[in-house]
This record gives sequence, structure tokens and C-alpha cells, in this order.
Amino acid sequence: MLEVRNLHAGYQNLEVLHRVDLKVPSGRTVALLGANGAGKTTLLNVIAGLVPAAAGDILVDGRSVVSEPAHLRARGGICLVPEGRGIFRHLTVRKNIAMFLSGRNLGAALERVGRWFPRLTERLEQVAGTMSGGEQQMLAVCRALLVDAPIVMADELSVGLAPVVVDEIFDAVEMLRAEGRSLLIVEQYADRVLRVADYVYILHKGAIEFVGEPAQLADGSLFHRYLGGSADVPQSETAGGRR
Amino acid sequence: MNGLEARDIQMRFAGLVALDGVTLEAPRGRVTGLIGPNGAGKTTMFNVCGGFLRPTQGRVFIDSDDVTTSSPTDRARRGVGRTFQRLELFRSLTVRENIALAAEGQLISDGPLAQLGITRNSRAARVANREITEKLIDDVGLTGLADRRAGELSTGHGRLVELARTLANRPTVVLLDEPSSGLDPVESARFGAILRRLMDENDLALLLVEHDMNLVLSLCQWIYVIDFGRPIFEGTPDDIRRSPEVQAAYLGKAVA
Amino acid sequence: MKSFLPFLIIGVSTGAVYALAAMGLVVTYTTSGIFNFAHGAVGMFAAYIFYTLRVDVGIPTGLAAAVAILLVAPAIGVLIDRVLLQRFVGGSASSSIVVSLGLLVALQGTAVAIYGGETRSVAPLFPTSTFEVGGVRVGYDQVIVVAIALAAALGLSLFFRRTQLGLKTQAVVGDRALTGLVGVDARAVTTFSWMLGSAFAALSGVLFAPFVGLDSILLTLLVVQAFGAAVIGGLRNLTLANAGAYGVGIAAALSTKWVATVPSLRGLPSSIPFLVLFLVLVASPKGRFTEVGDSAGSAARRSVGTNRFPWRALAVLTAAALVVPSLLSPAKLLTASATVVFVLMFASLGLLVGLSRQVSLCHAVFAVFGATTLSHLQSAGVPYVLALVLAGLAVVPVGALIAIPAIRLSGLFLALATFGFGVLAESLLFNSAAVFGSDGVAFVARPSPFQNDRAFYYFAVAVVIVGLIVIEAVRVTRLGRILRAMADSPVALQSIRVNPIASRVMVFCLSAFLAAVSGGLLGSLIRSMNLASFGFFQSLIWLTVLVAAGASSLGGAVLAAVLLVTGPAVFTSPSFTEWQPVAFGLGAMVLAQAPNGLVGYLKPPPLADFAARSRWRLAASRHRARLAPRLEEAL
Repeated sequence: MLEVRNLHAGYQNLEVLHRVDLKVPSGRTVALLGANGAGKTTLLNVIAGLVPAAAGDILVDGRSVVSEPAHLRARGGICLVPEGRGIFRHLTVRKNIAMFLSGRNLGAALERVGRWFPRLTERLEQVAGTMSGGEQQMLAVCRALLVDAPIVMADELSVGLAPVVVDEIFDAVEMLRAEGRSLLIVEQYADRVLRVADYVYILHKGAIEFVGEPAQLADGSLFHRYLGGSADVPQSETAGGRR
Repeated sequence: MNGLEARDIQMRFAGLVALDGVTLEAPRGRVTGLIGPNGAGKTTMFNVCGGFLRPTQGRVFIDSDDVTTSSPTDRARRGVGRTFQRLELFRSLTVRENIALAAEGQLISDGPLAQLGITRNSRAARVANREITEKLIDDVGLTGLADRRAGELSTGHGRLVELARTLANRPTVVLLDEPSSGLDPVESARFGAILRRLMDENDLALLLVEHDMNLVLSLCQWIYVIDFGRPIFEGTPDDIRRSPEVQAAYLGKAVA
Repeated sequence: MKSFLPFLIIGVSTGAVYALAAMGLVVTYTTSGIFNFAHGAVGMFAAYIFYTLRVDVGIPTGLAAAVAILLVAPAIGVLIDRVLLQRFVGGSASSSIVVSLGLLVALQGTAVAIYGGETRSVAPLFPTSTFEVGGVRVGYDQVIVVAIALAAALGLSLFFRRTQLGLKTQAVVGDRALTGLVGVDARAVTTFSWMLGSAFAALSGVLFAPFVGLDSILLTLLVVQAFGAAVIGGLRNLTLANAGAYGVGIAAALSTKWVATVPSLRGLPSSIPFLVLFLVLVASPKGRFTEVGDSAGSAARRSVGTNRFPWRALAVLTAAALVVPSLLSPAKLLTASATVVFVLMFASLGLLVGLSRQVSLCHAVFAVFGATTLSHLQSAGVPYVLALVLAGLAVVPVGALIAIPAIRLSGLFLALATFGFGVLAESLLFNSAAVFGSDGVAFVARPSPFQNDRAFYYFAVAVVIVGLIVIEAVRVTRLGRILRAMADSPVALQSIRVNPIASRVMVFCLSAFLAAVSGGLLGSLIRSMNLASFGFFQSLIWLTVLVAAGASSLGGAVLAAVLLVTGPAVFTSPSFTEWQPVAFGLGAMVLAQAPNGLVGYLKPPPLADFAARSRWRLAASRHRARLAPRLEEAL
């Protein structure tokens, strides 16, 4: 289980996250939604240890990891698939996979990758950055599948990908779910992630605006939460008219 | 047309189509918005307009002159001003110096002597330059902070310094890149109010790329929505609020 | 053709040593993003350790070499990474340059303080007997050196291709943050690369010592010659750096044959690597050298320097300068005059380092040129003041020639170009009759009404005050504002239609002008200048003492002059002079990132940062208070 308590974080003299509380129960999937700039990516980066927390705590199965550097959190069971393809773009696919495993049993891993994404095994010697966006994202998701981190976070898996490819990527998310991992997923396209999520958090301007279950958003209030951070349908304002 | 016009822009990066047939017009006297979900191509379009990227196809015009192939510096010379998503201030200069540096750029050439303050410009020009600086400090409400170093200011005030500095350069076209990022809702609304007042006073073409929908909907008279690099909608803020296409683009089809 | 072969063989064997040094440099630069100017000094230091172990302690040669290369050098590498550079994550490029230069000066100074300045000869490591191939004699030692270099290159290549650690190093080079997410400690990998790079430096130092002897400056510079090779590889490409190293070695060796008949060019062979370094930088298109990890710096920089003209400080300084002679014995008057002149020298350097955040490593050369040009003009009968101004103006085109190509690349490359030019000037130009005349000494007269020491002191004070007024005026003009703005945000400057390149070249030229004028004054003070007056190394020491004292203000320049010139005059013990450069080097390392060196600590600390911090905390708590009720509802 992943738990974030009273978290504040930011960059230099700019606080991005204000008192964020969040829980991902074991084996459950949490969707983290919100408009651009709400602080979703920052939140995942803070949990993964890429951005320091200014205050608050991060617990993995009750153990505080907030003072650990990123690589220890990764070894301790937190896996983040970051925004913009979490792969080593200048290394070959094979070397990427070797990096993901830190040297453990590459042969068996390649076989598993072949089962999930046959296209990747055809491209083992290709430099990862030269593959198509979809293939790069598959490789990034592979890491989550290959390492047995109980907590997996994914940031904007579908950005810039064609819908067919997004389906394939989300198949992998389903696999992770089926394996009983705890998932925290940030996604622009809410419909996809709401289908798999057990709980939804909405972040607005760095603070949690809504916590609930996907069904609670079925009334279409989600769009308006995005627009103004409030469930009320905004009154039409006077605009235009000049010139 | 007076202002900025981008016609039928296509942008490809190594096989990936980032923009496909996007057209937008930002005429003088109007605040034009450009919105879209993450990864829709907003930043790419912004960079095409500012000259940081050359489009694969399509043309960009400023005051009806084709500037498609001209550099950012060249466009700046033609009167395109911009702000930055990640605040770019001259942190070690005071607020006044930040703005004055941009105001002077208009009046004096940047020859070696001019940089040392030796110019042939008339006294009147220098006085005018100082007046413009003071007026802008006043306009954005930073009078009390004019002698503070920009690096000491909050992000909210920093955004205003950046805006004043851009305007001090006397542009005809202004590109604002996510000006509300890092601002809380109150600061964001204040920024919007100041921007609206400045628009009334200056005959500017303003293009706003922004994710704070409150700011976009309250400020813009015309809004373009793009997704997957394609134009999906354009209209007034009211049209946007009612548009099912925009909802679908932002949230995915099923929920909307 | 056959007469060239022996030179070719010498070239290949020296090239092999350059290659070792260049590989080490490339490895650390690509992984850490920090260009280690002290790379050669690390090699030099290891060579001294090797010598001590082998000669003084009496350990077998192989073991002594192993300890120096595999233990001492990696330990220095760890020290550099963990102690010196730890604080520089996200720091500006110019401060990391200063740190490594500080280390260079400190290591070199330590070697001199412990072992003395004279060169010691080192017994050969390998059999010096020769064999004959195609009519040319080849030494076994040469073959062994080349074999070691090739084996090391092969080993390094295998390390990167075949080992897990090599793979991790490649990963860190490509994407540092992601490496952490994968569970790999990027810091540890970087530290290892410093150990590896230092070991390569040490290997080249130890291999080189028998050929050139144990000479701290020579060894430091010889390994530094790898800069030229590394630059050919764009500082990143190991294969190209290797090829460049052999090319440089061969070119230098062949040129020895060629210049044997031209005495005035006798410095050419040893300057070839720097010539290469300089030409590659000049000829490189913009964009070929993008610095590693230079982007995060802007926000971390702190605001320094005042925005107002320091009338009061200048007045106090003038008054003090006018009173001083009456308090001093005539014997000390020379020291006082030199201190005064050095204030202008340091202020001119501060204009670059403090205001424009550019690093010049050839200010001593400008000073020498100033003095010698003044001497030539005097011989031609030009009146003193006019001659002094013309001597200053004479270096302006030289400065522009160095600055224009380098400035468009980046701060690091300006530092490298000035470094290259400094060595080049000393070994090539200083030897030519055009600079010091045929007998190697340039006599500089004092202006006629100011012949005695006291009168000349007042004359120097007057010139220095005028120079300082110019410098302080520049700080408050548009040029000064542009330079500070440039240090803060180059992109924003471009967006308001200001061309910062012109400003940076101008300030570099102005700084060179003032350095030359100071040099002219110094020449007049001691009435002559020769080859040994200001070696290239002085430029480095000046930079470190200025940074330690404070590069961003007049006070820093005064303190630097006092530390450099007045110090040894007051504390005359030999150990003071010996350890002085070490102290400057250490001071520069410690204070490189301080807002304004030692002087900065004499003033109350800037409260701005604290204010900004508490402001967002305040805003955050207000925001929280507003949202709290809603959040509770939601939960």
C-alpha cells in the first residue's frame, strides 16, 4: 500500500503541491486526474523521489520512504513510468531491458517481453529513441511488467499515441492489475482510466479537489471540475463584443 | 491582416505528425486563445508562431508579411514579443531595470557606444523611454516594488514583470506561454484583469496558450481548440463551454 | 620520407600518452558534465606520488605505479566528486570551471611546496634499448607505452560495451533521472567515472614523467595537452578523442623536425595541441559544442553586485591611497604601487568573471603584451600617456579574435580558448623578437615627471582610479545591465531584441584593454619585463585569488590585490610564498559559489531568498485555509 500524507512540494520559490493526501490500497488502481498544470506529474515525481518533498510523508506499507533517494525507492518497490517515455533513448532495446533488470537473467526476460510485445523483440538491436512513439511506450511499460515492484505509477501513458496503440498499452495495465499490483495512474483521457480504476482523485492547482469512485463522476460533472475546479456548471460570462 | 496569422500549418518530426492543418488568426485588438489537451501540439504551434520551429508546411504571417522562414530574433524585430512558461526574469536587476532594458531597446540602436549609454538620441527620446517604463510599472501595479530585485519577487509578481517587460519592447503581436502556471487562482484572476486592461489601452494582437480554463474563458474573445495536432473546434468562450467535441477531447469519449 | 619516420614514431608514442589523458577527460566530462581543468594536475600529482614511493620509500617500480594509479588517483577522484563537486549539482558552469581551476592551482602549488620547483629526473620505467624496423630505430619503451594506451582504449571500450557498470554509465550519460527510477544510484556511477578518469590521468602522468622529468608545471600542462584531443572529439566521443590525440602527437613531433631550422618558432611543437584546441574551437559551428547539464543553472544563480555607482567606496579608496605613502618606508613603496596597479588588474578581471560570468585564463598574457607594446612605443618616441592608451588598444583586436569565436559557443569554451591562447602566447609569441625584442627583455620607462618611486606611485594611483571609474561606470550603464541580464536569462534577452554576443565581446575587449594598461604600469614600475615576469600560470593564480576574494565588487579586487601582492611583502617567510598559491586554489574552490567571495561575507547576508521562501509558504497556507473545508467535505 502507498500512502501520501500532508505532502507539500515545489521548485525553488514556487510551491506546486499543497497538503496532498492520497492512498493507493494494495492491489487497487487509483486514477489521478486533473487539468494541465494541476501538479499530477510533480506528485508522481515526488513519490518516486525525483523531486524532494518540502513537508509531509510518503509511506510504503507503513514504512516512510520520504527521505530516501530515488534509486532506493525504486529498489524498495516503487516503479514510476515517467511522462514522455521512460526509456534510455540512446541505448538499444536490448540494453534498455538489461538496464531495467540490473543484470538479472536477461534471456528469460526477453522471452517474456516477446510474449507481451512481439514487436519489441524484433527490434532488440535498434536504438530505442528511433522507434515509433508506440513502441517506445511499450518498452517503457515493459519495465513495470519486468520488475516486481508492488507499486506502479504511470504518467500519461497515452500521450501522442494512436488509439489502437493506446489499447495495447492499456492491455499491459490490465496485466499489472491482474498481478495484484497497486497502481497510480495519471491520464489525460479520463474515460480509459476510469474504466479500470477503483478510486479517483482529482487534483486542481496543487490540491486534492475530489476523492471518490468512478461512478460518482458519471453525471458529467468531471468536465466542469476540469474547467474551474468546481462541480457547478459555470454561468456564461460576457466575452467577445469588442470589435 | 494586421496581427499574426498561421495558415494550414503542418509539422512533422521524424515520422510523427505533431501538427496537421492548423490555421489560426490573432488579429490586433483581440485576445485569441489556443487550448487543447496535453500533447495536443499547443507548444509546437506556439513555437511555430514564435519562429523557434520551422513548419514542414504552411505559412506564418505578421501584418500580412510572410515570416515563415525568419528567425525568432527576426520576428522580435518585426514586433513579436513573448513570455515564457518557465518564468524568465533578469533576477539580479530591479523591476524597473528589467522593464527599462526592454524599453530602451526601441529607442537606441545597440551599437557599442549606445551600450555604454552614449547615444545620439534626443533627450526627448530618453525622457519618453523613462515615461513608458514608469507607466508600465504603474499599469501592472508594481509601483511599490519597482526598486526590488526581480529575483526577490513571488511568481505572481514575476509574471507581471515579464508582461510589462514584453510590452515595454512595444510589440504589435504578443505570445503568452501559459502565463498562469505557478499562480494560485487569486493571482491568476488578477493577472487576467491586468491583461484585459492593458489590451484595452494597446492595439495588440495577443495569442494566449494556456491551461487555466478560467483564465482562457474569461479573457479570450476567440478560442482555437486542437487535439492530436488537428484543429477540432473554434469559437467564443460560450461555444467552447457547450461544445461536446471539446469535452470529448479533454476527457475521452465515454465519460463526456 | 625516411627522415620523417623517427619523428613519426616519437609522435605516436607521445600521442599514446595524450590519448590516455584525453580518454579520462572525456569519461568524466560526459558523465558528470564538469570539465576538469585539473585533470593534468591530477596526473602530475600521481607522478610525484609514484616518484616518492619508488625513490624515497623504495617500493618496487611496478607496485609504486599501481599504488599511484589505482589507489591514490581514484582517491583524488572520489575527493573531487564527493567533496568539491557535490555542492555543484545545478550550479552555474562558470563556478564549476573555477573549482577545477582552483584544484589545479592547489595541486600544482602543493607539489612545488613539497618537492620544490626544480625539475627532477625520473629513471626510465621500461627498457630503453632499441630495435630496428625498416632502417629506423624504435625504443622498446615507446612500443610499450603505445601498447599500454591501445590496451587501455580497448579495455575502456569493452567496459562500456560488455559490463553492467559500463552500461549503467552509458545510462547515466543519457538520462540521469531515469537511471534513478530504474534503481541505479547515478551518484555512485558518477563517482566511479571520476575514479576511472583520474586513474587514466595518473597513468598518463606516470608514463610521461620519465620522458620530461618531474616538473609540476610541465607535467600539468603536458597532460592538459589532452584538451586539444578531447576537443576534437567534441569532448564526448572517445574514438575521435583517441584519433585526435595521435594526430596531435604526430603533428607536434613532425613540427620539431620542421622548425629545427627556424629558431623563432622553437616553441611551436609544444604549442601544437593548444593550436589544435584553439583552431577547433574557432572553426566549430555553433551548436557543435552544447554543454552537458548547463540548463539547470539559471535558477540557482544568486544575484550579486550593486546597481549603483560606488562613489563613496571610490572616494575612500582614493583617500586611503593618497595617505598610504606617508605611512610607509620608501622600500615598501614599490609594494604599495604594485598593489594599487593590481587593483586595476583584478577589477578588469572581475568585470569578466563577476559581471559577465566569463572566465579569462590569459590575462597575464594581456598584461605582458601591454608592457612590451608600451616599451616598443616608447622606443618609437610616443609620449607616455598616449603610448599607454595605445598599448591597451593594441590588445583589443587580440581579445576580439579570441572572444568572438569562443563566446558564441559557451562559457566553458571561452575558458578553454583563453587557456589555449595563454599557453600558445607564452611558448610561441613570447619567444619571438616582436614581443621581448632580440635579447628577451623589454625595458619600460616611467613618464618623465614621475621618475622617482613616490611620484610614480601617485601617477599609478591616478591611472588606476580612472580605470576603476570606467569599470564601475560600465556596471551601471546599459552594457552592465545587459551583462547581468545575460547571466540571468539569455532567452529573455533575445526576446527583447538585445544581442548579448556584442555585449560580451565588448566587455572582454574592455577587460583585455585594462589588463594591458595595468601590465604597462607594472612594466614601468619595475622598469623592465622579461620572459619570466608573468608566466602563463599567473593567469590561473590571478583568477583563483580573485574568486576567493570576491569577483563581483570593487572590494573584492582590492582584497585580491592585497592578498596577492601585499601578503608576501608583509609575511616574508619562504613557506608563506610557497603555500600562497595553494591557499588561493583552496579559497577559490571553497568560495566559487559564494555570492561574492570573502568580501561577500563582510556584508550582511542577502535576505531575499529567505523572504521569497517564506512568501510562498505564506501563500500556501492561505490557499490551504481556503480549501480545507472543501477538502473535508470531499473526504
